[in-house]
Amino acid sequence: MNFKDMNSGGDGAQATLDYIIAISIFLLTVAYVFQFMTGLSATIQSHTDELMLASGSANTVLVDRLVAADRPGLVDQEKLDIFINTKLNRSLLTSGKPNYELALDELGLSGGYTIFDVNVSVTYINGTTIRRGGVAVPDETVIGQSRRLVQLINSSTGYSETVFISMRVW
Amino acid sequence: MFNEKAQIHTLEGVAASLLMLLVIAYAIETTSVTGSNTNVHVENELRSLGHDILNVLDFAEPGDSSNLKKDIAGWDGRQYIWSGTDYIEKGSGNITNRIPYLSGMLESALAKQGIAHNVEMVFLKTNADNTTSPSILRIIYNGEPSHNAVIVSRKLVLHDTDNISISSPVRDIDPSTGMYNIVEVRLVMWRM
Repeated sequence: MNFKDMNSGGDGAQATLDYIIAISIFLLTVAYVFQFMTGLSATIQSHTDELMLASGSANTVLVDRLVAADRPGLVDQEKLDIFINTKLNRSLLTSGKPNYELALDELGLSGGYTIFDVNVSVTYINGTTIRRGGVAVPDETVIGQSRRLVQLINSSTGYSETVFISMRVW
Repeated sequence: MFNEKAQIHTLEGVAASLLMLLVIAYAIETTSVTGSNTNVHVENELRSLGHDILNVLDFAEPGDSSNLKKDIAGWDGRQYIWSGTDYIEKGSGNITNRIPYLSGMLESALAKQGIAHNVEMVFLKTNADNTTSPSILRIIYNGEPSHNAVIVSRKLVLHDTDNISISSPVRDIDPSTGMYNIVEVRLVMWRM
């Protein structure tokens, strides 16, 4: 096809129309497939699974080991207070290293590859927060959260109450 | 090379392409393919929460029975349903609650969090030929669980001294001993 053919009033223009329609359909298909594939991998890219696993395992370490009371299934109130007020305090140092970083080590949230930040809160079952520690939760980021329902016991008085311990990791 | 049939071919091509696109789009939409482990996380979270609930309910101060045991011993066999605000008796709709500790905990930890749940009790029953077999009763029933429901359970040993209700459907399997019966409390949870 040449310039002369296209201006001679023949059917030459039809080939251009074919081309435009075909390329449009092709581009639409490519765009749709691309969008679909991006959606499939969105959860993997956002590290949601990794954060959920990290918060769950760290909460298990906290509840079942670090602040566990002498009797199984109970959390020691004094140990929990020390953990939240002292170990999660970024301004306190132990042997020149911030307590907060040591706490991350204990919770298994720091390593050579990734270091997480953590926020821990303790609430009654009605939702009232009674203790909170760690770094403030940022507004716009993906966060992994886990909750444990525990019996918090005061070892001195024997008084116990039911609370949620929530751990947020990002 | 060029003739009047081109128009027909173009329309055929467009129609065929649109048809193929619609079929592909429909096939993708109707096939739920997800690349995440969200369901696994939800199930793990529910299992952990269920174990925690039974642990907390079965906590007993020295010399006292656990709240879970008190509720099971005092249960009179009436079945309860979560109405959206209270646990009501099946049939009558009364709010007379014979399982205060269990219902209080489940209301806060599950019902108000949008987690559907059933509570069942499995206990030993003495048959006419003096053999024993397990029997299942529903304490709280909110419908059939979904396919990804999670079940956690706790075994309790009831003794003659546990203030068991005279209306309890659980019977003493061996009156000659201090043991009354063995009860398994099953908590079934699923996301709605």
